Amino acid sequence: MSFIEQTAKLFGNAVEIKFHAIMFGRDGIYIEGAKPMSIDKCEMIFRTPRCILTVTGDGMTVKDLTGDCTAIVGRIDGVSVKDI
Amino acid sequence: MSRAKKTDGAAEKKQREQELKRIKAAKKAKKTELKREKEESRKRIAEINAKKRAVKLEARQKVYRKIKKKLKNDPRGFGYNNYGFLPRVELKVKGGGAEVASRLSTAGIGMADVAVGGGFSTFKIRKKDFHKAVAILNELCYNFEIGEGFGIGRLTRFWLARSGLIFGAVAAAIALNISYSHIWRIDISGNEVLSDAAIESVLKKAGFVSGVKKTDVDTDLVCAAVNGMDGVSDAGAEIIGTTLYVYVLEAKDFTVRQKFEAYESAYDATVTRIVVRRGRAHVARGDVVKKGDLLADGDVYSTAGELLYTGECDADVYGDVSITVTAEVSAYSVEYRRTGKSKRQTCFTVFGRRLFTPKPPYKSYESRTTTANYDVLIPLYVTTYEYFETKPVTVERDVDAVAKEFAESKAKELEFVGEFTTSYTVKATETGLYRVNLFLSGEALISKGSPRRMPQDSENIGE
Repeated sequence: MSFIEQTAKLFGNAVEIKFHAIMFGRDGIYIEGAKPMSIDKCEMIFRTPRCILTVTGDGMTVKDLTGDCTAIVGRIDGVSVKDI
Repeated sequence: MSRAKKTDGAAEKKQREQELKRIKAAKKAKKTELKREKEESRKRIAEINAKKRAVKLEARQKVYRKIKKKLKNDPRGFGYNNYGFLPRVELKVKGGGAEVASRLSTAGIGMADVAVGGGFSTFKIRKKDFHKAVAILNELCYNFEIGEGFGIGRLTRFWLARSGLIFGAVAAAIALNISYSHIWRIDISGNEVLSDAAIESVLKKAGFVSGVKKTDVDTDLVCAAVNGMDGVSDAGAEIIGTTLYVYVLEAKDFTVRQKFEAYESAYDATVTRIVVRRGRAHVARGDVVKKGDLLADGDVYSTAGELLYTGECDADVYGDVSITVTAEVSAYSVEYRRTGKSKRQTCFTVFGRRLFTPKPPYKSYESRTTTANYDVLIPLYVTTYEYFETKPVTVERDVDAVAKEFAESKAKELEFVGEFTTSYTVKATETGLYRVNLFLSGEALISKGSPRRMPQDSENIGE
């Protein structure tokens, strides 16, 4: 269970859980609440219930993928969100 | 007519000479051309070889970069490869990518290091999830390959494969530690009169021998043991590496006297001086003694005249000696001279055991031995034997010089005190040798140490 989920549980689901994307400079990005749709070195696409999340970069790899939590490392050039 | 012929001949000759010159020039040009071609081909070959070397170097450097990168696995960096403690296995799936990742993660299988490229997706999963993952992949009809294993299983295999090396390293470290904690050699220096064996026997009695532990050696006690010897003015000791160094300072004018129970006469003489430090003299000044007569002994008698025991006797008896010595000498002597050939053999000695026995390579030789000590951690000594081949050479000598040498050696043997007379004659013999008749006269040390005489021996001498 992730930290955010734990917090949400603690506060009695007060916070609507959406996806989370935390960037670590340009060297990595941690995405929670999104499932992978496409994995590639230059572009990774994740799906959330309401939108598509696209991460672009160079030499990217998925460091860890557990449930809907993904850690990506590599050179991140851009993160974009599109409603579906 | 003949003039015309002559002119034709000269012109022909000139033509031939010109022809020859042309041929020579052509040959020279061809030679130069060949040389140039050879040079060019050599340059081309050198260029090709240089290119090959450059390619090999580039490939080697690529491998080095890869190794360096793999070794530089900083856990603080994003490029960190966590091989993990828990057993993992790598799977390589053809195609797949996001679908496989999504299905496996939904099934609760954690994936790590997912990389997609070249039509394949590679990732690592826990070994316990392996069968589940294979079932899912089979269900999805994906082709996959099983890669390397990671985690403790791999770590264990890694170290087990090097168990011999680890065991050897540990055993060597223990052996070195044990070796370094003992004394393997005792080096004695500074002694000229006292022998090494005498000092070593004193140290042995005190408990300081080769093989003893360093913690059991007190250098003060070593010094005390050596200081207690006769003839030692001062002693020092220290331990360096695995060697106990003992430094001896001998007393001035110290001489080692051998101990005897009796002294007898070595020559026919008239006694002139008697010095008895221990024991009892059996002769008086002016007595005429023969060779073998008893001069002094260490017998101790009771007041009733009974022999109680035989102790040490220490005496010097001098007498006037006149002796004639005859010897036959040759004008030729054999000397062994080096031929210029030499060979070297090296031998290692560890813990007192020689690793091989050196064999002299020549029938007749001179040798020189040097030993180097490398005994800081273990008692390792390297001995180098140098053999120089020699051959016998007959050398002619001056007979008079030989006779003089003989006279001097005899005079030295007698240990004359003060002035003495010496004269010799040399006569040729029928056998080709020379007879030297030597006459010596003077005051000399005539006493010679011997074991105790039995009582009947003393009576026979007419004591």
